[in-house]
Amino acid sequence: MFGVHRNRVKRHSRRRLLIQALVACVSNGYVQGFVTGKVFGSPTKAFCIPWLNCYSCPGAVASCPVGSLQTVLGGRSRGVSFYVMGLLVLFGVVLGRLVCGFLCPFGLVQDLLHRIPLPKFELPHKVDRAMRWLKYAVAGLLVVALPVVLRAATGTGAPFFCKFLCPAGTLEGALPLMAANPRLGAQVGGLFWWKVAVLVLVMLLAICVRRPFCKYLCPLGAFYGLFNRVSLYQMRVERSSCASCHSCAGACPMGLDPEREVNGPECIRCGNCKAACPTSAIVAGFELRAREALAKRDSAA
Amino acid sequence: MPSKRVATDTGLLAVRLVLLAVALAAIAYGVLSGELQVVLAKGVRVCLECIGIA
Repeated sequence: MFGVHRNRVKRHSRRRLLIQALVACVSNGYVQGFVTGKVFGSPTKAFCIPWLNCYSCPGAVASCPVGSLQTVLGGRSRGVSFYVMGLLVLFGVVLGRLVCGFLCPFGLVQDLLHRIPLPKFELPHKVDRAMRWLKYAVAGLLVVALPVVLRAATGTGAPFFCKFLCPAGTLEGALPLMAANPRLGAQVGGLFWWKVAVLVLVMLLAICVRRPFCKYLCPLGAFYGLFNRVSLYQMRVERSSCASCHSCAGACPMGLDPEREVNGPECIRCGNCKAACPTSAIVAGFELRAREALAKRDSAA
Repeated sequence: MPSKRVATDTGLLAVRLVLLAVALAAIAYGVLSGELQVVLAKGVRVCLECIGIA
């Protein structure tokens, strides 16, 4: 990658980190909760934010859509959650996986961990591509099927994803709550340590592999990915300007080739490819803006 | 191929409009059927599953 474009990617990454940090602070802005070890009890918790942010984080000011979806699905009425599904479809149609690239606090955690100067690697291509299907299995099984099918004597299903897998819940919810509330800490058992092991594994992996949780496990990313091709926010590669230098592929944290997969389900719309492109062949934005940019460039040519 | 492009754009627009309408209708139905209370009730308590206790 040419030096000037490498600098552009760095500047873009810094701006993106700033936005991610701001979103993480705002969505976990109940600072008092971290001191008292109690979760925020405001009516704002009736609203689901579009990203993975545990509602048991002491600072969380809104609810997690994945947890809320499982709660309604596993409730006694066994109902589909129209409210949560509607919100997820709305966010998906407007933003697609832009949520993953710019807004998700757990994405921020992985991006920060990847900055630790230790050896980096990517999984072999075939293994990587096969493992990306895992997140659909996680969404189908742990988020939807098991909470509906497996029910306790009380008639309610457990939120299986939160209970057995979600590392965001352990990091944002369990650890700060237990640090501030020793009574909770006294109740930990095998399940807690299992969740800590999952968190440690994901975090260690994130140091060496870019965004492992987003690539392989996140049910929310799997869902939003389905909307990438139709969402209002779009990215485009202008073929006439593309020099096929593959600088974009080198900058992609998801290991994609943006020339072929710019709006594919795996693209998190982080915009690194756009910043890395030496010929500015990649445009991004809400549909109208992208078209305007294309038209302006065409007329200039 | 301008005609094909126009047809694709129209199709895409229709898909988006339908999805947006479905999303808004689902949210409205969910709110009216009391799902907000279910989400709120879960959100304001410590989720023991999330923190690995239950």
